[in-house]
Amino acid sequence: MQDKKAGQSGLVNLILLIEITAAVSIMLLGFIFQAEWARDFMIGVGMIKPMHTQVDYYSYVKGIEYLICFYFFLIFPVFFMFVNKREERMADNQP
Amino acid sequence: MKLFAREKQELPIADHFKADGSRWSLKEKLLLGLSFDDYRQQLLRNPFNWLILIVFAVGLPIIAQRFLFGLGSVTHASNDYPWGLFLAFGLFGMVPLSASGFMLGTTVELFGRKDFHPIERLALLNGLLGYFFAVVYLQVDLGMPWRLPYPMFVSLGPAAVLFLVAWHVATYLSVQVAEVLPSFFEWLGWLKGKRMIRSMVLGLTVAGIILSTLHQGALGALFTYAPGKLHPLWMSANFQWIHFLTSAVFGGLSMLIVVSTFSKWFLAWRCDHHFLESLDKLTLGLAKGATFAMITYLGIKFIAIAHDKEWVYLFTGWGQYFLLELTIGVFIPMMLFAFAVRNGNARMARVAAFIGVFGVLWNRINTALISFNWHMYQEIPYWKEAVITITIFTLYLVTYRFILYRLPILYEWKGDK
Amino acid sequence: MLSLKTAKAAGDFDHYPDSMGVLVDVNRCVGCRSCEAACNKEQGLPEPEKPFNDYSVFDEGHEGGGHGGVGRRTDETRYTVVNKYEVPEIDHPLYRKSQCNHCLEPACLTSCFVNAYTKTPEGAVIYNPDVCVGCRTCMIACPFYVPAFKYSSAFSPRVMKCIFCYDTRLKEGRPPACVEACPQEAMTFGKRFDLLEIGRKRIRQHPDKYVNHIYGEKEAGGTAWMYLSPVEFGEVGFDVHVPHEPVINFVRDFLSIVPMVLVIWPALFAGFHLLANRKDAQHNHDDIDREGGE
Repeated sequence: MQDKKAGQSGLVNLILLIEITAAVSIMLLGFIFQAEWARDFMIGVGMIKPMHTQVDYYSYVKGIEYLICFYFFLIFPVFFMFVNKREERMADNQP
Repeated sequence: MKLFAREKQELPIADHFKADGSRWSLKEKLLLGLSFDDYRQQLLRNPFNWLILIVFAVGLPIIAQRFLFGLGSVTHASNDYPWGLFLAFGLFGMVPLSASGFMLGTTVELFGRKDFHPIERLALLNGLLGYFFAVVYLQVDLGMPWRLPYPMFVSLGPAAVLFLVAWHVATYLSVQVAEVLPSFFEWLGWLKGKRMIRSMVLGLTVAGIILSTLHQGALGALFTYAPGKLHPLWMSANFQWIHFLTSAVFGGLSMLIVVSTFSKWFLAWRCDHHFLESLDKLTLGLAKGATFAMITYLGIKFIAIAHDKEWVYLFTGWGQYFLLELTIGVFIPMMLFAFAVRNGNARMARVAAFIGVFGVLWNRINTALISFNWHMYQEIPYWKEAVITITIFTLYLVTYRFILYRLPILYEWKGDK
Repeated sequence: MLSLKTAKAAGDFDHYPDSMGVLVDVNRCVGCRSCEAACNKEQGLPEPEKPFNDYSVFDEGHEGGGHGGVGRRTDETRYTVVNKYEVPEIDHPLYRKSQCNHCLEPACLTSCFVNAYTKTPEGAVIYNPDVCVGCRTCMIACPFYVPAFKYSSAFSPRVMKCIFCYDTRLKEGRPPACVEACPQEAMTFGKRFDLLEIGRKRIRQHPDKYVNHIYGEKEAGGTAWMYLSPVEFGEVGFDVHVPHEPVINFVRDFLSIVPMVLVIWPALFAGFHLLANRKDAQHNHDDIDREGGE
């Protein structure tokens, strides 16, 4: 019973992970090949715009950096659990 | 309370059930199992409580004055020294002394050193209360305390160091509440809640390390906004944050030794034998950590002087004062800790811890008040500012004691866990 | 079309090339305090104890007074003050007006955790009291000791500081009230870029009357208000130790470490945990893995 439950949450984690991986890959590919939409997106959210002062520039980049960190905090525990659960099941099968 | 504990077998309360098998009610738990009259009597018998009463009688009206008539009515309203005693002592001083929470959490939960378990909860509580009261001090000092959540939800300035301090102190406070909750749930008898917290203890601990690293550092980094105002010896644009972080390590450990010593002296009736018997050994363990942090700190302090080429300042009056701070506040406790560990002398470690706590406070006040505007005049806080600072500190002591009397911090709960 | 190149060259900023500034010539100021009076009226500040034609204020100190030559400073009742300085080289006293210098890279702005400050394209550094929390970090950060706090108020305190008459004048391209009120033309209003030229020209034409430095050209990364002086700037109350780079440069080191700690620490310490408890994990995996959960 517990094994099944662990398996299920493992599956959910796996799906989540695949989704995140896919999304990140598409974004990276977009930027690597300089897709027009990637540039439009960056201009749209203000990632590319002229900055007149260093202090405004810092307010801006720090905001983006912390947003990335925030999303990292959401992803990392899921990723950690996903990796760790596998180990548990292996240990279960051992004896 | 000492007297009652001697008279009655079932006191102090450490179980859900009385000797006759019936359950303690919440009210009885709050009154420590005494009748209301007994409880009042033991309060009045303690001369320390009278001292507290006097402090409150003087201090609370002055706090009211601050909130009704503005900061200008209780401070010198200095535009040159915008930060006074409330922040120098209350925020910059209390926060490093509260680093004990994340360090013992890391030791026990992350590195699995279960032998430090008897003192872990005291460390966590010390952290929680220190932070909470740092925020209380901050609330007294802020011009518009009712706007405290603005940097989180209303108008964000992410490039500011204080932005980090605000976010980290707020999230870390929640983390610490979660870390202390298990003892509250045990006392309350709500085990489901405790299990829930236990299941995320690693996440909480890691979050604690991250948040502590950053905002202990951020408190230091706040001073990098005033590179020309601080005396160069107390100011290092590159290393200020890591100076503050490192001194918080021994500050927090020293504070934990101090608090555990007070518990041993004045709350022995509340401590169980686990705590009392292992305390000497644990004190030496903490002392070892503190002494290593201190020698590291001395090392990086001198590296900062070398990095900014400030040797010439050492030969001025400020330099003497700086060296005095390092000698009394860091070097002497470091050597005392070292000898204490070598000779297994817990008493010496306790003496060192008192000096260590003083050393950290002294450093923070030197940084924020004494060496600030060193080329101008020296601000001496208005007496009402000092009274408010003392009053809030007394409130801190009262809260601390109230919780230690009740929750299973210094003892293990005998009932279901 | 923007190219990615602009994003890469982010270290260089133009600081609004058309922004305005003021050049103050300490040589020309006679200490009449007309600028103080004009500012008081324009900004609706409280009437001072001593009228603006009372020159005994030049003998006042501040914060209890008597603190060796500090002179008066800006506070919650005044956005600008003129101070008097006796210097040995010159037989008459010199006067120097001080107010917010409107930095190109304002320290107050970068230290503010609620973004209460804005550097406008016109050159002013303005302040929004509606979001200010009253932490007073801007006052710590300002290298010129300009922002003051309304300590006298319990329910509506705020930072008080010169805003270059932004709302009433600068926005429409007009000079601030103090500049207009000056009978000596001690202050020149114009584009900062042009003012630097004017300043250099004055120094070149009268090398005997000016020291070869424009205070504010480089101080704190450059300011919109700049000064010319006949004597070394330290003698007329300027802080000559103000670093020649913006205050944010001193804070940058720490700011760049923050996201590194945020992203590296989780795996680092979760890794320590796994390493430290590896043995237990094999013997008693149940217990440890439950702790390993979120």
